[in-house]
Amino acid sequence: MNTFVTQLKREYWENRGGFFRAPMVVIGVVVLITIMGLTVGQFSVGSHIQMMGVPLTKAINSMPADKLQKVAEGINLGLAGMSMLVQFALGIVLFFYLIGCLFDERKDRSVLFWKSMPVSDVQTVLTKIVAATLLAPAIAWAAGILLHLLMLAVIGGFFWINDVSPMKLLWGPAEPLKLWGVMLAGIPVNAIWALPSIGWLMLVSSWARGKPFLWAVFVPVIAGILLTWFDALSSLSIPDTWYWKEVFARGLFSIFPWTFDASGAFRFGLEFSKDSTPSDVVSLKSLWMVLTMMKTWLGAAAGIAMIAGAVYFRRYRELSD
Amino acid sequence: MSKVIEARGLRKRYGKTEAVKGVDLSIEAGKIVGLIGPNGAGKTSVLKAMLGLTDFDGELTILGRNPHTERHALMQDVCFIADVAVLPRWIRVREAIEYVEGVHPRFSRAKCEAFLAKTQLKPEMRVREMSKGMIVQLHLALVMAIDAKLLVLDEPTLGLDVLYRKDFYQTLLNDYFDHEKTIVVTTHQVEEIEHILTDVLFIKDGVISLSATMEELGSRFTEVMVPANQREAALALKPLDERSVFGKSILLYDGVPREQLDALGETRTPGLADIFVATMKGTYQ
Repeated sequence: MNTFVTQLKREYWENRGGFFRAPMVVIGVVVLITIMGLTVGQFSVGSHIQMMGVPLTKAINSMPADKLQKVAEGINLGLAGMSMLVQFALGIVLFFYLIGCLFDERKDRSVLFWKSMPVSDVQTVLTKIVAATLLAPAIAWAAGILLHLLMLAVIGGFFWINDVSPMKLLWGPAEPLKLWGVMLAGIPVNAIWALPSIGWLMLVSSWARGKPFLWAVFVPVIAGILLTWFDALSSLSIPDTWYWKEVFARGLFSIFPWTFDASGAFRFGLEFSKDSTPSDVVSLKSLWMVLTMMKTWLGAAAGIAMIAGAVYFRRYRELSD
Repeated sequence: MSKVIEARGLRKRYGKTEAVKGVDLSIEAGKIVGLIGPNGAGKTSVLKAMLGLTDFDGELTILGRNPHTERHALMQDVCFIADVAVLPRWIRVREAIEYVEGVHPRFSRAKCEAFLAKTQLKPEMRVREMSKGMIVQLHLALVMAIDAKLLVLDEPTLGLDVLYRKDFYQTLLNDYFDHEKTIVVTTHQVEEIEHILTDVLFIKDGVISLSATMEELGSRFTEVMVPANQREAALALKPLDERSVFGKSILLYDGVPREQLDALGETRTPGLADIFVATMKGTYQ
């Protein structure tokens, strides 16, 4: 247990920049832009903000219940969107973390130091997976909460200056607790969903003698192009769209959290449409959907097989001098 | 006495070239063994096989274990510095100590800090900010604070100045070594380790060309300085090597009784470096 904790700490020390500073930078930028926007708004429009020709204060105070309901939906959508910003940054960090995690140590030869310690290769690889699926997401989760609190405070303050009750318009209708709960529940589900990507990136990281990024990206791209050609040239119908969606996209990019949407389809990046808004994606319903899909588990099995491959290479790959 | 290292017919091939061509070894506890050979002789391959960093053919056991399949268990009792400057560049002194303390049951923080107190290293320093010598100092402090049964050092003092090198070997002998430990060391600075070794192994072209204790070495090898008129007689005794200094020949013999050589000229026990050079002649030709 002590070994595991120490190994995890070591991952954090090495990747403090990605695991901790990156989400903090995202928060800083979002809050700063908001403050700047509100300041400009305050000076140029001042307290003359109106809603359908009525001064805002008055409009809010006489707002009917169904309108307030809409406001609440808007606020919760905004909160979920803010979480997604942090999650997207987390995805980028994890992608590069996994590509480098078993390659960099061979490149700078520090693997000779790590291997002089009584830690097995399985332990090492598992620690890195835990760092990518629990440690970094937990930090990003906390960062998301911090972002929500700061934004609620900043915007609430702006309302308050303008004589609008933040309690009525913002803090009351907002439901951050529910969102935080779902985000937390999403961590293990995302981990399962991301297993193929984790496996592939770690496999390349432990295997490549150089340029792991190019290997990780171009092998699947070329495989896909070949499949598409076959498809076009022969009567054999290999479903290449299926490949791009289920193998290519999931294998490379499922490390981006919440990239499944409510309908269970994979979406590259975070594309939102009318039926899959951030608050639809970030829901217990969509998490449950992911867990009930066969392909989630098939992909996870493929991911575990590739992780076993990564362990093999970490153990037996010889360092070229 | 239990065997710490036992090898029989150890071979290692890289593609078409065979780097190690059947090495037999048997090293007991309480020895300091110098593994000495020219570049490309297979030293590093033998060490890597011993440390479980590479696979091999033939038999090899370290402390009764197969290093290739049981590396992590073996590392409880074996420590090594496989190369200089392999500490990760991002790590801080404080973090390196905490890491080794966390994963190694035989590490003593107090010992490590005592070693570090003699250096310029500060807890917050990162490896990337250190000079090459400082990195080696940190690595050695970490490794010497581990109470291991076998310590393997591959060129441990490369990049260190002569003052620190002397100090290092002295510390190794006085504060680290005892009769239950075994040290295997390779270095090109043969003169500097000569006085601490108990045994020596010469490796040439992938085979052990000489295996002896230091006492045996002293009784086997003799160097004679012979005047020109005695040279013919001296050559008849088949010296290993001949070099001339100021018109006199210095000849090195293996296994010729010293009494016999006394008649030819002034005899002395040659240094390890001289024996090494003599036995390795022709390596680069």
